[in-house]
Amino acid sequence: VKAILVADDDPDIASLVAAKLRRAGYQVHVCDDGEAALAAAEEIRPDLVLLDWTMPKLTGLEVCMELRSRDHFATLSIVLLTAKSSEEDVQQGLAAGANDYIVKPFSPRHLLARVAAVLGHHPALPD
Amino acid sequence: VTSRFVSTYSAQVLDRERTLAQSNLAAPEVTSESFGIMTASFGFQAALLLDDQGRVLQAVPADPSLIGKPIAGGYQHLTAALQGHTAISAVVRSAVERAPVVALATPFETPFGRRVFSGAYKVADTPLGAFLHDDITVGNAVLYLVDPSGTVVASSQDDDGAIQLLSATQPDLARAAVIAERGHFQDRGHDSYFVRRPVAGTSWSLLVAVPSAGLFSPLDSGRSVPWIILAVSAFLAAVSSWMTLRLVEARERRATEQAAALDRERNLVATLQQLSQAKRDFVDGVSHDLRTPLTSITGFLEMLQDGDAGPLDEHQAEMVDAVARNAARLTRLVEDLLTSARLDSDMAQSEQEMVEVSPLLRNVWADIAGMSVGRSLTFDLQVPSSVGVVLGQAHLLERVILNLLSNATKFTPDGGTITMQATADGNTLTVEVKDTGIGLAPEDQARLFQPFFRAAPSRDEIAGTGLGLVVVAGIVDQHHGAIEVDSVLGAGTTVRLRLPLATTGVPAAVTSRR
Repeated sequence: VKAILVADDDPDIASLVAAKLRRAGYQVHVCDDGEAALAAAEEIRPDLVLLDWTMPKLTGLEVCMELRSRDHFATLSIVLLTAKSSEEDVQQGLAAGANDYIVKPFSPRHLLARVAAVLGHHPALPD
Repeated sequence: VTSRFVSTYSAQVLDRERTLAQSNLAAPEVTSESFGIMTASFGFQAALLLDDQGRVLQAVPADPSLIGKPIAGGYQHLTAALQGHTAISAVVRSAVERAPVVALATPFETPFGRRVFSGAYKVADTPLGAFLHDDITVGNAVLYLVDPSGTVVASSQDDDGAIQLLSATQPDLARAAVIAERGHFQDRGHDSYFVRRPVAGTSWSLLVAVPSAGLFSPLDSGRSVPWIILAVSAFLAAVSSWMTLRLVEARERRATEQAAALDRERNLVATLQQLSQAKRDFVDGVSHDLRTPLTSITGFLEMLQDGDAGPLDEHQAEMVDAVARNAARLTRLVEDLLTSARLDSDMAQSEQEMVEVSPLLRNVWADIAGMSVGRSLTFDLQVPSSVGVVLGQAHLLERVILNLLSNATKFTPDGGTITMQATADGNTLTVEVKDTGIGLAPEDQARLFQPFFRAAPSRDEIAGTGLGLVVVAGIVDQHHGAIEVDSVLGAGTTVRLRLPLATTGVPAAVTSRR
């Protein structure tokens, strides 16, 4: 079972994402600020981290860069989940080391598909 | 009136202004406002602008009764200027401030014929004013202002002691003044003694002349002459430095005023930049605050619809669908509002790029055609493989085409045709999006680009916010383009978009049909 860490300071969005992912069979951990996200990542060593950009203490972008700077997280899958939607924001997010970038508001179905793709899981293809 | 005064004075004072005037006054029509601003910035108390027939184009102070009429009174300096010479008027008492003024008339050539700009200075503001100040009198001494060639620019010799400009030179004085700092010359038949001092900051000299007869007759010759010469010398030095001071003061005042104006301009620019940044920050903040709750609303609704929280009965499903439909509408409204609010600062802060038009049109076309699967519409694309390059921002131009095409598909019932055509003509790109849809009533066409406007028949049946074309108009305007709409109710609509091309492409008509 793949483990996913969700970091978002909006509790409703965190629980929305967690509910959709859990229904799809993922093991989900939730935290609500940047520092907690870093600590939780070290503790549970998830397969994928979903980061909100605008969070207290450390922004999602800062968490992303910090994770990438640690050797054992070099291949960790990171997805930014944010209301920032301009071209420059997307480029900045991907340049900071994220594997994918999802703009709010998003469809949970769509989110699930992107997460599966980033994890290399393609349900429509034969194994 | 000496042409010498004109050439030295105008060269020194009007050099910069002449250049500015040339550019300001060569417009086909000089407005009363711009002429007023220019007159004030040159420091003129009053001014006239004439056409090549001597008719008044503008006047300061504004006087509508003068406009279009030929100048009356036979002013010689204006007549001379109309013939192509820079000329100065005799000193006249100004009707405006009842102060002595002297007017300088300058001809300049424009694409619309010769024009004459004449501005009046208060004499007190010129070196002449300083020279002719009441305080400068010394018995029967005569003061002369002379230029480097020795020509008299002005003198204090006058019946009532007021200013007088000489029209004739005095060859004897000229010879003497150029050669020596002091000496004798024949002043109108009398032998006079003179002392000359330069006026700093100008090329002129100030010269004081005392008739030799006046110098000697009342005095015991031999002892008193040196005293008189000393007195005249000292006096001249005082006058000369006083004039210099006045000129330097005037120059410094002018420099200070210019620096202050520059400061004000810089502050204004800084304020505008701050405002633009503040607007950007505000839009970003609002954007985040609106999108976050929408994410929860639409996300949980989708999960309910997907049965992630268990199956819904028919009644529940209907209600959830209605909520979802309206949440989607709200999301679109928020997106369009934010796009329209962000346009200005986006254009101001992002870099312009060379945008290849044909691929951009084809990509958006493919997206729209893809989204219309399931509709029975005919799509007709008439875009050459390379129609040219536009300077601007690709993602904004994409948004324009997307909005136009999505309108065309939305308002065209099944069975209809959507056509997009692109042509380059000289430096202009024309993109035409044509549909055979429901069309617009004439009274609605005029209101198309108003925020939130939606034409009556579509208002309730077709999803939309009434902001799509507002965004389009904003982007087209930022790209220095134009947009026009032709529509017949019930027959269809054509939107024509014109943009300036940076380069023109190969005019090869390539048509694809689907």
